[in-house]
Amino acid sequence: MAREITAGTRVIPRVEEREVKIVSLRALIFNRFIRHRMAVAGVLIVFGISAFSYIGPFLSPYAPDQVNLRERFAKPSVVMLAGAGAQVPALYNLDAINGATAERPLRFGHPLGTDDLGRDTMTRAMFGGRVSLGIGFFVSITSVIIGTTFGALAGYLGGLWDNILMRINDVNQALPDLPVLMVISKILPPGFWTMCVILTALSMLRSSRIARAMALTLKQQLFSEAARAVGANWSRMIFRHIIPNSLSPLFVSVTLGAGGAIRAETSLSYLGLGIQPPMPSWGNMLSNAQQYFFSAPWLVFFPGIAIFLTLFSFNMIGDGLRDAFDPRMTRR
Amino acid sequence: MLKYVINRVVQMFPILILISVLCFALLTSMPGDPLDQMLENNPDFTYEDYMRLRQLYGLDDPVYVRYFKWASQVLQGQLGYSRQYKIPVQNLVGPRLVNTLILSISALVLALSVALALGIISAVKQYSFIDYAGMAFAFFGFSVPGFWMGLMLIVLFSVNLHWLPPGGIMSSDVQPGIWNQFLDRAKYLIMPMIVTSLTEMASWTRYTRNSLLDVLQLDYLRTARAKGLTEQSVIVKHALKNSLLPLITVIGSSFARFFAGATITETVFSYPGMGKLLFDSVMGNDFVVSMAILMILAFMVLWGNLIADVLYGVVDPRIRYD
Repeated sequence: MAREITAGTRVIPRVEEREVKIVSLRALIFNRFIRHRMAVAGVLIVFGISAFSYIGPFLSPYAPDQVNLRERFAKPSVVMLAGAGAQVPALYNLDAINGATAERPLRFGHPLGTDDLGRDTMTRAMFGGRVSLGIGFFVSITSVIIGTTFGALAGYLGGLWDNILMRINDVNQALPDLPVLMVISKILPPGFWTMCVILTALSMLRSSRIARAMALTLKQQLFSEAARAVGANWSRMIFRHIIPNSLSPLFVSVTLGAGGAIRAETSLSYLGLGIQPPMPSWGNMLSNAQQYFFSAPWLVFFPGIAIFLTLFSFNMIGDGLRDAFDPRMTRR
Repeated sequence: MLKYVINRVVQMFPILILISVLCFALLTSMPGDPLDQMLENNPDFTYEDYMRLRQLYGLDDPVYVRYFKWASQVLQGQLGYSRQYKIPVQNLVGPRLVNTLILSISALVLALSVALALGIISAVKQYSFIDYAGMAFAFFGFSVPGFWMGLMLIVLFSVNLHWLPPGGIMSSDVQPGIWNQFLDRAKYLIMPMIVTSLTEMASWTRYTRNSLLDVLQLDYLRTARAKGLTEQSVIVKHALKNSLLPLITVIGSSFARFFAGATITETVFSYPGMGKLLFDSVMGNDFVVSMAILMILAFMVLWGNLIADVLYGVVDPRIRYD
């Protein structure tokens, strides 16, 4: 029986000691994320595609812009005969395996086929992945850092800057992104860094809206008042209190932003405004391929699958993070 | 309410002016101008003509002078004259706008009906096969890039199966009669409609499901069940009404994305709508056309948001605009 300690008029009941497993917030969130199977699959797919694009080119025997007119429109095949040209019949190419002799040895084929100039689609997809993933990572991370700082500053300090930021956001919300991106990418010289800059500028606004909203609610709360009462100035308030407390929606916005940036880049490159050939990107590979989809459907198929898998896994990771950060932990 | 609407409409004007200034600044800083194309395409076009036309169109004026000229023209109802198509912008944009509206509205109806059906079934039968299939479909819809989806549909239904035309808007050999024309248009509309609606369909499915699940946990539904209502009337009459209210705002703010999506879809299916016109005019330096389309887009987005907000106030008595 629990003994009661009486002290004056107050009765303090003794709590029986139980073994409590202390879990840090980070571990809790991590555990919840791990339990979201699709999100984990998304992480694995992103790692896989990154490995494919960043390590793959070192293993590939072809260069991305290596033109080989004897092997135009070669069908996907893992092995092929030396000098056999484009008449490769099937994926595992039994004819080639049977027909191999000492004079005409088997050699590594084009697993994803070749395009109209005989360039290897797989190698091009790897380099395209470097471009698309690079833009995705760069844009999502820089735009969140810059957008959060501006948004939190505007939300916390208010005044003129807040007003300016909000008017820019009004304009941004009234105009669909794609037309604006089209116009801007026509003004600036096309290329990787141009795409990074314009996509960062646009997606920065979204994270600034999130950070501003968070700052507006957080600055009213008691802990902010307490911090101000002990003399925290505005920069300490923003960088030590507001931003750390709004990290969870920002993490989600990083992953979704990466997906969004890749989607925007591929759309623009598809329209012919983003990354320009001969530099490969998943988007401009598709726009080149669509003239040939009667004769060479694999050219349309593989870059699209790569875009789809990447966007799919970023969305899954975003969903998993959102669930993991959700304190109500609604399991859906 | 009336005061609120008037207030919102008045607030719209500064935003529209700001947008027009911004778009004008962006479009004028694009390299090249309409005359460059004339110089390229017309061998009889001399340098003197070029200079004279520059003078005439006022292309050498400072940007703000040109902006005020453009603005005063627009305020008088003159949208300008397309250099690429050689017709007034009104005559050019009007039919294209109708085409885009047909596409967007049918895509909206499709997205909404599929999303509601799938979302409601998924929520009512949570963790069932339909639920998982619906959520898988939702993630597929978010993630698939529109232009690729369009290309794959063309490969499947036009190239391989020969069921649907790969692009365009109507056949040249259509039989007379309203019904025949309607069927013909519908045949060309199916694939663009699916591609345009896919993203919104996916996100609305998820939205419907999640908000219905939230409502289904509430106490008043337990009361409704306790007083002996059938499950059907509990869900249809009591739960749905409350759970679908927020969807109005979501739909209202999705106008922008429908039109942005239309740019891609219309290019893939060579559907003569406003999105494709915008793309062509940006590429061809057809300045007044791009400007007119961007302003129409902004105008429609602002009105879409306003209508959604007002409707939300009408259907939800808890929200009052005083």
